[in-house]
Amino acid sequence: MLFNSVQFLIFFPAVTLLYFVIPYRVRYLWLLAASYYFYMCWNPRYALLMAGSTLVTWLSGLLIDWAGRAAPEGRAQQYKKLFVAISCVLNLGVLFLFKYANFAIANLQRLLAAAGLAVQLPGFDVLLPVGISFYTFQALSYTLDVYRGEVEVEKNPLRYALFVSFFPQLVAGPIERSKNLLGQLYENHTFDLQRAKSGLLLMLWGYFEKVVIADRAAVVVSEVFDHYAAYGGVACVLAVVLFAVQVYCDFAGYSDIAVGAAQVMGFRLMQNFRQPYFARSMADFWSRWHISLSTWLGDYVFEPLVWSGWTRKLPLIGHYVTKPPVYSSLIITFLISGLWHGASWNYVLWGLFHGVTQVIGKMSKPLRRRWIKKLHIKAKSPAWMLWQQLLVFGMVCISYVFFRADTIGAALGYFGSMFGSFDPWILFDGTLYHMGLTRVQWQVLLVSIAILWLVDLKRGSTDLRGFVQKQPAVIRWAVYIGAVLIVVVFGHYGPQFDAAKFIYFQF
Amino acid sequence: MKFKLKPVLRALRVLLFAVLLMAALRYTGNFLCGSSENPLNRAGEGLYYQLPGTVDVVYVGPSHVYSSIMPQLIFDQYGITGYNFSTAAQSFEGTYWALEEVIRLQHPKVAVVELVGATADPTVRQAPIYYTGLCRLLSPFSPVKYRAVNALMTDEKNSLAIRQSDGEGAAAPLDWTDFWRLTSFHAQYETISAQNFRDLAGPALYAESKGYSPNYAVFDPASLPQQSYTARQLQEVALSDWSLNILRRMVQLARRTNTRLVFMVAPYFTDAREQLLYAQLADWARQQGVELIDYNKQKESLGLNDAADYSDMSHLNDAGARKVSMAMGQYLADTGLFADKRQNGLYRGWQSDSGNYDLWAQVGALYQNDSAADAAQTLAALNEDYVAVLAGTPDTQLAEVLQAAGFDAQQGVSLCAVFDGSSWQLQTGADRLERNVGGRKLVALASGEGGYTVVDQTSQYVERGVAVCVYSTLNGEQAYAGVLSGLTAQTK
Repeated sequence: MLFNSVQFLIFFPAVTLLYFVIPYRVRYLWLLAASYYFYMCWNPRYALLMAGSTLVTWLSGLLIDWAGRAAPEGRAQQYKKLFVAISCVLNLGVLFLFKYANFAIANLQRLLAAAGLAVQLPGFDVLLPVGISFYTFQALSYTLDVYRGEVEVEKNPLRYALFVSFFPQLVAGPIERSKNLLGQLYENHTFDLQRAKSGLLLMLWGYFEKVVIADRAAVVVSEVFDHYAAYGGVACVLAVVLFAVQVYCDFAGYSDIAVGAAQVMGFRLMQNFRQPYFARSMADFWSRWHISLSTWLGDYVFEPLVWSGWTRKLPLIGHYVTKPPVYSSLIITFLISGLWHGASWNYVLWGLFHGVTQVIGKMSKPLRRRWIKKLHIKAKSPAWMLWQQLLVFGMVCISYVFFRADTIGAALGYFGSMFGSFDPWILFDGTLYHMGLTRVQWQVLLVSIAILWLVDLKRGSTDLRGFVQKQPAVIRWAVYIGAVLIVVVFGHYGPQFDAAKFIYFQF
Repeated sequence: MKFKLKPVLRALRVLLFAVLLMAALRYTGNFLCGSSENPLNRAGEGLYYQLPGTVDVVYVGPSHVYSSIMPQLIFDQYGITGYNFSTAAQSFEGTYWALEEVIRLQHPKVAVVELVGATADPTVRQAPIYYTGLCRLLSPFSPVKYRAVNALMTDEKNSLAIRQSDGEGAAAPLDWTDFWRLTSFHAQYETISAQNFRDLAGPALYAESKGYSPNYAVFDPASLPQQSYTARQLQEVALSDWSLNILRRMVQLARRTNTRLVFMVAPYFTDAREQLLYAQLADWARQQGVELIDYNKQKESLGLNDAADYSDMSHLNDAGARKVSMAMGQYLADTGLFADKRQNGLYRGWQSDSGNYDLWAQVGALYQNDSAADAAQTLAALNEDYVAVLAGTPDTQLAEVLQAAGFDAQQGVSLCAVFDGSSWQLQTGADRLERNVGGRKLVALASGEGGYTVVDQTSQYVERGVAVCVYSTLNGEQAYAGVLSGLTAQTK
């Protein structure tokens, strides 16, 4: 079920109410049942896949723990690595089968055809299970954390199953770590009205981001991206900027609803976004965007790659390598990130773009510092910071063309339209009102984006929810009721609109 | 155990907040639906404001109810309180839920159910799109609403019917947002007008009519389409299992709640197929021991005139509704079940509404004009001080008409709304329609599109004591016909 559905609006209060009513000892069982029910609303059969992933990673944890305690002398590490490898192969294998098999087959066919072998390989006719990328990574993180000794092995399979399937963050993150969430499943949460209000307020904000901003922006984005050849440069640029808003609000909105829902029940999920469009470098951007994924990749892909010194093992050039392979590992990590988002070359290119820009950023840092000093630029001045933010935002928007387009060809065609003509008058001659939104809808969108920007601006330095909760009851209630009305009235849903699912459900 | 006040106070505060939130959502829904929800679908809302047990008779069904039964007239003449609880194009399944709701609200002595819905094709006229209007009318605090919505959304046959829309409704499946005013009309902030503010108050607008919607148009029976059936087709005519099932549920409900159930067929131009179905319904009702009054069979005794008493082929106009209502009132009085409440002090509200209702009898004048010069002459002859103009597509000739009729664009003329082909764009000064500025207000309509669309949207702007001057630059005939079929004109 979607977060923005009547089913969830009934499901969540019912689950929460019962959670606080039933004895503490069986609460996790109730949450486990509710989480599986939540997942099975999408497709009951795929719950078996999730259960399988849960079982494999749980068993791997037990086996790794056994290897550490009882493996034959000198073989402990070998056994541990074996169990980690089995867990990774099985989980990633299933992920590969459902998500990447057809992509791999199609590319293999192309390669063979290029080599003169016209072969028709069979494909897989399977639906991508919702959230598989998320829960697979979450479950794998447990295996790896146990291997590293960073977390105690969980002996209760049902409690572990809840860690993997916890419904607020199951289908689109944040990708939780066992060291954060697993321990919380043992906590005895009592109902705290202040905490619940704070969580509900965060959920409301998430709904605002999703149904008021993201779904509204999506109308223009779809229109322009689907018909880019008919639009000029300014329209294409506008659509990319709106896509940046859409994907942020869609994903951050979902994360806020997830974090808020968990908070109502007493759980603390990790922050997944930290005002990403205020980033001043690409590296800074990735410390603010989809934080759970970037830290996962950083901890389990990038760092092992760097410390493994894999480049020293390369034939021919290996013995020339003297430094840790930071840049190449960064590129590889972002290629994986691109692939994680989708089985398509445009996602790979998107990942590559981010990897390359990060490498360029790192390589050019000393040079940039020298020139900033030479030109007497005040690095902390608002103007310079704004310039950096705009530059990063621009680069991120360029990458979004690959992210949003269906194919690389479509992305290149889009760039052609974007740079093919300069037509700023479309902003004033009424063309905007033929892109799917009326004048009033545009006004609502722009005002909402302005509110989003202001909130994000303050959020970095102020606890806004805490600020609201400290106000007198009249003001607090006006804010709460006003926020609900804004979401219900200005939300982009219902018979007149196509209710769009969350973008990241496709991953 | 020590009594702790703090948690109780906290719980009360939460409850107060919940009440305020519900009220905000409800009134916002009322506000936003003001310019969009079919006002005819809100006519029955006043029933929720009647004290339980004060309404003797409730009438449920589709538009045949609100166009045929005048509860206020019945009270005037017989002292029997009644209320229409009906919505446009109501599905027969919806009529069952409406019946459950009115019985829950009022426990009336008699419930009258109009049967045209039972004769319709279950896959077409019964498509769920036809009872979203009813579901929106049902109170969000009523358990009947949720059972009705749940029955609709889970009934497989209804789900099939959703996809077999007869072309007038949405092709997409219905969504939970279709059943609440706020979620159905939440995007209507684009067309906010004085009407929205007026509707914020709720059903006050419709309270006097007791759910009746007068229509003064006159239908020409010569324009009736010819419907013919082969003998074989007529042989195969039978009540559907679906209709019979609903009828049985209605009878069981009435028995369970000790309510006297009366089936009614409002008079209209029936074809051979419908006549056979009504005959079958009469037989069935007789077997169940339920009275069925088929006014189609009493046209002569009622004095109904085909050429004067109908607004279209399916509905009575005000003149016809009076005749049927008098007959219904007489029937109810003859049952001996009701005390005459006309002198009962507890029903003062009904008595004062009765006084207002009398004024409705004055019909707004309607003038058709074929040319700009003609329209100017008519306007000038009406000798009014104030003109409120609802124009169709921007019409420069309209300005000439007004000028020729002696109206200065700066004084006495208010251009209230312009129909651009798809929606009404309100202009400043529209709120002046809502006030009595001394004397009768004149509305001049100029439609560039089909008249029905114009009237459907503008009937809410037509105030009491209105003379309507119709002039269309594109299709005067069509506009005039549209105004005739949909205009409601009331006097104050």
